[in-house]
Order: sequence, then C-alpha cells, then structure tokens
Amino acid sequence: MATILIEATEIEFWRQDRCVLDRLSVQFSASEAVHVMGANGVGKTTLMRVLAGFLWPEYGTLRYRGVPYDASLPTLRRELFFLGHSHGLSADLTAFENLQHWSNLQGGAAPGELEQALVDAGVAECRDRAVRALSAGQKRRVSLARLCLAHALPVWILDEPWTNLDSDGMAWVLSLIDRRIESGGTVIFSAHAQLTFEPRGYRALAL
Amino acid sequence: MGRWTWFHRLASPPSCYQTAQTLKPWFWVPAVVLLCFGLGNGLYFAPKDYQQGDAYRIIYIHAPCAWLSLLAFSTMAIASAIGLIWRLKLAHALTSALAPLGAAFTLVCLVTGSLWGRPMWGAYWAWDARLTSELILLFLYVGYMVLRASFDDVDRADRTSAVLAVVGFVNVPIIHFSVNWWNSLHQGSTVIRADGPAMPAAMLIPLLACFVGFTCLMAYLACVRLRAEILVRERRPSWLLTVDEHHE
Amino acid sequence: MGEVMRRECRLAARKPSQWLQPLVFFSLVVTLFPLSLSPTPDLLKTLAPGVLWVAALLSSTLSLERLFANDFEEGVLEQWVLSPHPLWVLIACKIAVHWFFSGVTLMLLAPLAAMSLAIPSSAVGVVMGSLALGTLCLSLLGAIGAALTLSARRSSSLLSLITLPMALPILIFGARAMDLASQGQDTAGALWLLGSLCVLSVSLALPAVTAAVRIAME
Repeated sequence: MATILIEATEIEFWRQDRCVLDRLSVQFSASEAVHVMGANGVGKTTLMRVLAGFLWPEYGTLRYRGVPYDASLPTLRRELFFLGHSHGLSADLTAFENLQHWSNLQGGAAPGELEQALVDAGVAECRDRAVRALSAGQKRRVSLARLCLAHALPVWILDEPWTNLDSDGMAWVLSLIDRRIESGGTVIFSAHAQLTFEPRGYRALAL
Repeated sequence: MGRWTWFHRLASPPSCYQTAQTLKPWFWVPAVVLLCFGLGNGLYFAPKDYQQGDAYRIIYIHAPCAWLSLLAFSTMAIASAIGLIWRLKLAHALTSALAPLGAAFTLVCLVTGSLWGRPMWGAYWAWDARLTSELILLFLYVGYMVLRASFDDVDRADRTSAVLAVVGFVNVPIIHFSVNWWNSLHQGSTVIRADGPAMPAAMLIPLLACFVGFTCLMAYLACVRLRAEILVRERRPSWLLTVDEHHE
Repeated sequence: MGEVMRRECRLAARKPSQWLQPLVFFSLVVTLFPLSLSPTPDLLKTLAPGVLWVAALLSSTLSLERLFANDFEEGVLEQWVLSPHPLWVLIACKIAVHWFFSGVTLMLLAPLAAMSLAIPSSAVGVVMGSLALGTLCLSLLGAIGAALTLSARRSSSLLSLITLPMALPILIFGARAMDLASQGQDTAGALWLLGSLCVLSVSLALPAVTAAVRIAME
C-alpha cells in the first residue's frame, strides 16, 4: 500500500455564492500521476490551490502525511513544486537569472544544473535573453525547466502545464512526470488537451 | 473542545441572527430611557458652567461620540483579529457592520467639537489636539471602508480590511501621542477639557447617562446592521426560510 | 537572503525609471512651493521642513505603487509564498532594497532641496539623517498599504489614503527635527523619536505585510 501523501476529507470551498468544491474527499498517494479533469469553471484550479495551501476550505480537513495542514504547511512547502497559470518569471531578468533565483528559494543548485535544465527544456538559446523578449511558448518552457531541477521534491502540482506548448513539449513534460513517478513522487496535474501517452501510475479524477 | 462549543454555536449565522434579534430590545429601551434623561437634563436642567455658560452643553453629545468612535474602532480591531486568527466570518461581518457606525459617530464628534470651538476660540477649527486626532481617526475609517469596497470577492475584502483594521488600531495610540506632542509645541493647552471628577454631580450624572445611553444606541444599531450583513452574506439560505419574522 | 537582495538590485538597475520618477516628482513639488509663495528666505526657512516632508511622503507613495505589483502579476510572489524560506525574510529584503533605491537616493537629493529652501547648511546633516530614518519607516508602512491593495481594483489614491494617516507621526517628528536644526537647537530628542518609530514600524510592518501577501494569494 503506497503511503498517502495528501488527504482531503469532505472539503467545501465557496467563492461568493457559488459552491466550487462540494464535500470533496480525495487521496493522493506516492507514485501516482493524477489527472484532474473537468469542464471550465468546475474547480480544477481551486482544488489545486487548496491542495497547495493557498486557499483554506471552509469545512473539511486537509492532511499532509497524516498531519493537518495547520501544522504541516512548513513541511509541505519544503516538499512541493507548484506551477500555476502564471509562469512565475520576472520579465526583466534573463531566463538563467530567473532559474537561479527560483533554485535559491528552494535551496540552491549548481550553475551547471541550471544550464542543463535550460538545454533539456529546449531554450538554451534564451539563457541570456530577458524573459520579456521571449515568446509565450518559450516562457512556458523556461518555467517548466524548473521541473528538471525539482526532481527531489516529492509532490508536484501542475495546473495546465501544457498551455502554449507544442506536441514535443507535451511529450517532454510527460516524460519528466513519468520519471518523477518512477522515483516515488506524486504528480497532480490538469490538462485540457489530449495526452499523448499516459504516464505510469496514471489515475483520472473527474470533478 | 467542550468549553468552546457555546462559542461555536454562537458563531453560526443562524444563532447569531437570532441572538442579535433578542438582544435588540435590551439595547434600545435603555438607550431611549438614558438618552431622554441624560440629554434632557444636560441640555435643559443642568446648571450653567461658570466659565463657558451654556456653550459647554454640547459636551453631552460630543464626549460620548468621541468615546464611541474609539470604542467602535477597538471593537473592529478585536473582531478583525478574531476573524483572521480563527477564520470566523461572523467576526468580519461584525467589523463591516460597525465601520459606518463608527465613522458616523466620529463625524458627529468632529462637527459638535467644531461647533463648541466657535464660541471658545472664535473659529470653527483651530487644530486642537483632540479634534485633530479624531480627524485622523475619520480618515482611518474612510480608508477602511474604501479598501473594503474596492474588492469584488467578499472573503478577500473581509480579510484584507481586517489586516488594515488591526494595523490602524495599533497606530492609533502612536498617532494620538504624536499629535498631542505637536500640539503642545505649538499651541499650549487645549480648551475643550471635560474635567471629570471636578464636575458637580448635577452635570456629571446626566453626562454618564449620555455615555451609557449612546453606547446602548450604538449596540442597538450594530445589532441591526449585523443582521443585515448576515442576510447579505449567507450562502445557504435554507435556514432563513424558517426564521420567525413575527417579531420584526 | 543575499541572493534575493542581489535579484532586487538587478531588477531596480534594469528599470531605473521606477525609482527615478519619484525623485523627479520630489524635486518638482519642492520647486512648486516657492513658486506659489513669495520666496523670501525667512518664509522659506519656516516652511521648509513641512515642504520637504510632504514632498517626501507624496513621492514615496508613488514609488510604493509598484513595490509588489510586478512580482504579484508575474507569479513570482506566489513562488515566494511557497518557498521553504520564511516569507518575512524575503519581504524584508525586498523592502530594504526598495528603501535603498527610493529613500537613500531621496536623502542624497535632499541637501540640494534643503538649500533651495533656505535651510542653513549646518542643518543639512539633520535633514539627511531624519529623511533617511523617515523614508525607512515610510517604506515599511507603505509596504503594508502596497500589499493590501495588491488584489484590489486599482485606484490611484487608495494606497495614499491608507498609508498617509499612518505616516503622520513620521511627518510630525521629522519636520520637528528639521525645524530644530534650522534654528540651531538640539535635535537629539526628535531623532530618537524617529528612530523608535523605525523600530516600531519594523515590528508592525513585517507581520502585516506577510499576512497581506498571503491573503492576496487566495
């Protein structure tokens, strides 16, 4: 039985007068790739932000490794990689500087690793260009380059990581997810496009 | 958790709605009685002040309003802190209900203060320390209300303005101290001073009655507004259908 | 922490207009006052502390507008909230660099402004010292306002409306310090008061800004 990492019990989340998550109970274990599915506006992003600790549900409990979120948020923050809708890159810094800053926030990485991540993401030529000057697809690839650096983090939450990516990009991200699952991590992601292949440990979660 | 169940029960919207309704008469009846007694006595029957003649009578409105403006702000800050720490939405509803009340009392305090100042200083506004502090307090209230109004999402408006209420509250003593300090450098003693114990009983008792009366009045208005806030915010209105409106 | 400061400095260096424009605004306001009154040295000397401080307050609210806005819109602030490092440390670095580029530069510009307003040159040291302390408090208190208005419907004066009442003690003590200095009297008391305001601002602002940033992430 795989260890349960995140457990949500009967969580309810309201936005204004609308109940976005209605008594939802769900578990995420190690070595699982969970594809959160649903139409627009059904609450995929809200669920991911709740799991990442940004939003607090009105009712229900959230546990990380068995400890309620109140106490386990510091642990969660050390072990989580979250990628939301915004790419999290400063427009005035170069791609390399952005990666460097992010890796410092997480604990530091050698410059060689950063260069390799950019190469893997296919944006090595953007290393010293300001993010402002990159195309939408290149920005997305630079922000996803962080996945190469996040191989030690057990939990990945990716909210529609394939926006602006071509099919090569999608295959690359899926291979990274596959590798993370293989080494025991958990990946929770949402996608609108059809997946080119299902990574190991694949499970669909329909909202 | 047993000790706190009464608190959690009180903190649910339906019971709070009901409690506010039952508390209302407990507030408006004493308010009417005390204000009739206090204002009637103060404005008509109490003896003239040896120094200021009849002009001092405005203290029966000015002083309670000043006290209430501070009381409302303190209550808002405490409720905001409770709402932020324990994530209690009703606390935020209370803060939101109190804000316009507090601002109104501050405004009345400023207007009565400047009316009082006219016979004293010959001008409607002379940068007296106490009135200047009240003016800054009014700006704090307005800032709170404008911040709250600039959010579409009620929850975010609640929590953001709650932080502002707490920060503003912590700043109030500092602002008061600095304004007093500034005033003492430039103007000498302020004229509007209610000498508490030195007042004869015939003046003091109506004044105390006005204090308590106005406080009851504000509590009553707060109950009314709080019930309105609960109605506006409630998301699962099924319990509203069962509320007995007979007592309205 | 050093890396965060370096990042902030890099960002400030690449967008100089963000901190140069408030300085130009400051100079403009200081120029407007004598033009609207008669520039007799005595009048100017009396008004100078007030003019300098009001101009400093107004120009600092300009520079505070974009303190967190860029990082918030680009999603970097989101990554900061998620980082294992304590959020208040990251925010403190950001405010410190902001103060360096907006407050310290203002302090360096102040001697010119002071002398144009007939403040004796013996008082310029106190002018600079009080502005340095005062702008630090302003950066801290203004950061609260900037963080609170992050996800609000943007209106140009909301930040000023929130920040200026809280900045009143800084104005009072700072102007008093400059006034005493122009008259040649001892300014230690007023400067100590400003210093204690700084300490209070740090202990108030850092928790408040951290809370406000987390709320903006919701």
